[in-house]
Amino acid sequence: MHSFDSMSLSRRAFLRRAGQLAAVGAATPLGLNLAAMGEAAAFTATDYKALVCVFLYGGNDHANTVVAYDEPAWQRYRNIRRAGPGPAGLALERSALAATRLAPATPLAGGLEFALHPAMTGLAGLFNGGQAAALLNVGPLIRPTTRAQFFSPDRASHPLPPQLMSHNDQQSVWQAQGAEGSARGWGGNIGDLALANNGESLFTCISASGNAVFLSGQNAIQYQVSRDGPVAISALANGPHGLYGNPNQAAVAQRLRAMLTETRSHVLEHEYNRIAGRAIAAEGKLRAALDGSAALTTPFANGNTLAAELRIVARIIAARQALGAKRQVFMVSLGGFDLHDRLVEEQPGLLRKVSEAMTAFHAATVELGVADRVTTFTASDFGRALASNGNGTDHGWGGHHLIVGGAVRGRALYGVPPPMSIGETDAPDDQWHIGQGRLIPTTSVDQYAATLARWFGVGQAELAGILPNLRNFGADAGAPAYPTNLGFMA
Amino acid sequence: MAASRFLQQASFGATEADIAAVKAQGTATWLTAQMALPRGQRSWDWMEANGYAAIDARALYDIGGPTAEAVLAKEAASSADPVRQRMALALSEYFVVSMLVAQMPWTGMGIAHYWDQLQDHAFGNFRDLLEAMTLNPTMGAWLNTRGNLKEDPVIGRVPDENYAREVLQLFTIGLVRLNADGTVKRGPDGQPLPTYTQDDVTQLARIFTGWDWWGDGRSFFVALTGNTRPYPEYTRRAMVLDATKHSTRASVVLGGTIPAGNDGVARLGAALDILFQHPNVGPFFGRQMIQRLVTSNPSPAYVARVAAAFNDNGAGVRGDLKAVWRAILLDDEARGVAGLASATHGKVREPMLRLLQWLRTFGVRSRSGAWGLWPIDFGNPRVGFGQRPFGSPSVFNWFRPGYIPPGTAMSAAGATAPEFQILNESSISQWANAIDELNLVSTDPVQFSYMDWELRFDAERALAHDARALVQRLNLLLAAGQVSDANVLRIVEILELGSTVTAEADAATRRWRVIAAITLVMTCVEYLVQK
Repeated sequence: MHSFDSMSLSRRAFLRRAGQLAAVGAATPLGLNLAAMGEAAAFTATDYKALVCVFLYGGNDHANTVVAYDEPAWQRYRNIRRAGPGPAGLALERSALAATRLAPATPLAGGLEFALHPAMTGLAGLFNGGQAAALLNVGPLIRPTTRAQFFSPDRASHPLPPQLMSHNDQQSVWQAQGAEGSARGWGGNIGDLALANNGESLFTCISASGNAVFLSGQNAIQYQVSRDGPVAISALANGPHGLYGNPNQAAVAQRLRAMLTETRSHVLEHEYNRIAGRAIAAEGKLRAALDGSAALTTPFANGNTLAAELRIVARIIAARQALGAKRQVFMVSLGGFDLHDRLVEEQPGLLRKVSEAMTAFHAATVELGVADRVTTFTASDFGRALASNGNGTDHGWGGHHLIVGGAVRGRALYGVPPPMSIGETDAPDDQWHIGQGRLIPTTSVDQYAATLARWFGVGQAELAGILPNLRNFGADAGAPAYPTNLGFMA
Repeated sequence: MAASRFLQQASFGATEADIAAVKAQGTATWLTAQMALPRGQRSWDWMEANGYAAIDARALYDIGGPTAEAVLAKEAASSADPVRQRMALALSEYFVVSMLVAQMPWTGMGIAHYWDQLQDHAFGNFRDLLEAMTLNPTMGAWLNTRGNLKEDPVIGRVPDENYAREVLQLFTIGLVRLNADGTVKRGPDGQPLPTYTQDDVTQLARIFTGWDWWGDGRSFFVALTGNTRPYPEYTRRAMVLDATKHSTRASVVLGGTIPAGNDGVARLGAALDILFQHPNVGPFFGRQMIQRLVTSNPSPAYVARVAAAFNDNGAGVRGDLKAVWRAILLDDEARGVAGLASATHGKVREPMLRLLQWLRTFGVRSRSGAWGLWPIDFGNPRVGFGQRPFGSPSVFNWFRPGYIPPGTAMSAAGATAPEFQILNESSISQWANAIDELNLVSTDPVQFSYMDWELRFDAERALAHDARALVQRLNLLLAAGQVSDANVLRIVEILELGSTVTAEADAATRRWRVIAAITLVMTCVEYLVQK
């Protein structure tokens, strides 16, 4: 985990203090807050903001998601991907891309053009309507890295993210800058700063899609909801089956609750009961807040688990005032993207779900009047190789991603368009991949995260504590081509 | 209690008969006898005999995945050789295949054969198991060896790398070099030493080209969809090689060379030999099996003992799985009383294992004999607790052996606790609701007669008027006596607050108390963490 090597003392101290305050929770005395410590002024704002990470598990094939559309690049793409079952092999036909062509307000240099996958009509509409942006070739980096540096044996001078192309590790690196086993993600690190601002600190970092290190901070805890909201333990209300309607219901519930939540000396038992305790304490509050908030009328597609997850996120955002929430970080996900096989058959359905779910979610934020307060962004294990294996593609590194929201400087592509190449020569176009078109990222996850974090209200000085590798990027690090603010947020 | 503790590690759970047998024979003898039992009826054959290979309106050829749960329930509840199935289940979380595999007709039958092969080799040799898994048709679909084509420079096609990568990362050696005790080898810079490079993956991928499902050319027509489908036979046939589609290029893998040539079968064998002989396999595989069976965070010395048994069974044989199971289950770290007093020993029982234990402990039966679908709606957010058997979301299992739950005492200590990867506010509550509802499938009164599963709780009902005796029985059978007196008393108090059951109480009244007691024991954390 050499990528997480720069945890500064000041950050630890800061987070300790933040944690102490968070532990005090809603009872924090007026004035005794992070702002008073002069370290997170932006979070004293009384407004509301939310970040929503849409994680595409398995490693999305980026080249068929944000697709080369100008004729010369598309021809190269078509030629590289010509082995495959579709009419253009693995490639998407250019004519099929016209309806989802991206029309940036300022055209890209060199006549480069892109389109979204034909199944992504909703997101293409948001892009062309100024509510969404694309970020090209982003992925984990410790520092700016060239092809020669990648193949250099001198790892000390040219460190790489750990375990490239391993699913579980790259999921962790995207979420937490370190391989599997990492303890804190950048969503959680951001959440740490916001804990004391929220009426109920547990509702700061919320997942609707299973455990992920992204939302774990020093003190911030990932709180899990189902797509129907918090899950109640029915036996606590009525007694377990067999004791229904018993004459001592309250006493039964009180003792059962004590058993499920008691402090234990065995660490596994203790942590299990801690989760149960959180579940029981939070369920009633969140259920009441959800029930007490206006119902959403925006339709979300059925049969789309990502839409179901984003719908509960929207409902929680709708309940933000009842929850006293000012800053929230959410995580949702969709799996199935590891398409070594059946890329042409399976990816369209997956991307349609992504597009429909994210489009509906954006519409819901408009309905709630918080479209410019909520930013949704995609992430994935890795991009994939450009080369075809006959009916799919293999693991890569950098890939393309999308950012949606009213505060996004939309109708624009950010980052550096990668050359469409799998060549192994010294030609300039062959320098941005490590074989078979596996892209070396030209924008790091840390830059991506920093841009989102700044919008969210994280101070410039706090970024280093949240994203320890950020110091290797930007003009100050002698890398002006890798700006620490990518400019896609207003 | 010691016998029950052993049975919960070595089997799906403890029945009175099993406990008596272990006490009479001793753990080592009983284990040896279990490993000597012949295979019972094959799961695939049982599935076929019970209609799961039938071509009918259920369209099981297209939607048959969950049907394999039936045979697992049947075997967990009643098989005579549960150690074989328990070890096979541990192996299924290492060589992971899932019913979520795409576009595989007769997925349920395919899973059944995969399950058969895990059982076939559970007391055999790791090398044979590795080859069986590599050529298993469901694995072939799951990790894309099936239909993998050799390189074609003319059209720019390269071999599919999926199986090559995952057989290295997950099935044999892992990402980093290990010492014999499973600890990580590090370079002078303190960084873990990698076991392989992308080039190893690319070269190994050539070996897995040219393979496809067995077929005899026969198929049947589905009028509804206008498609043809193969008969289920192919799901129990190893994949076959088409030499014309096999890459003939030499491969250098982990420093070993597999010469160029078109004898793909021999090349596969040579490649698997290289992987099998790597010194990582013993500690890599051994530590994970300890985690599945005994404890989440075994000591390096325990791992070393198990790895040594893998490396040499005492007769010079590498990869003897019987020796591995003996080393794991008879080790002092599994058997000794120190683990019972430790604040860190043990593991959270996987939700799937709780369910299988419940089936065996209470002797659940199937009214139809076909063990219809499980009475748990895994898609229901109120009860679907996130671990559907044979339903791992990916080849990385539901949880990772290296998972360290953030923000916990384990995280502070750097201690792995894999099962925590699927524990959260939702799944913990879902389990409590699921077990509460599962108990309702008991008969008398017949509330849920439309369900196929039934159980009677005869022995438990006989104790129902004596809440303490009832809870102590459940504590012994379900938790090997690991629920403390304090929580036994608490559960007794809840039961007695909740209802009155006299010695004269009728069967229905007794039943209600029994199912409440089971729910309470199986939601108590001293049961949930198996020491």
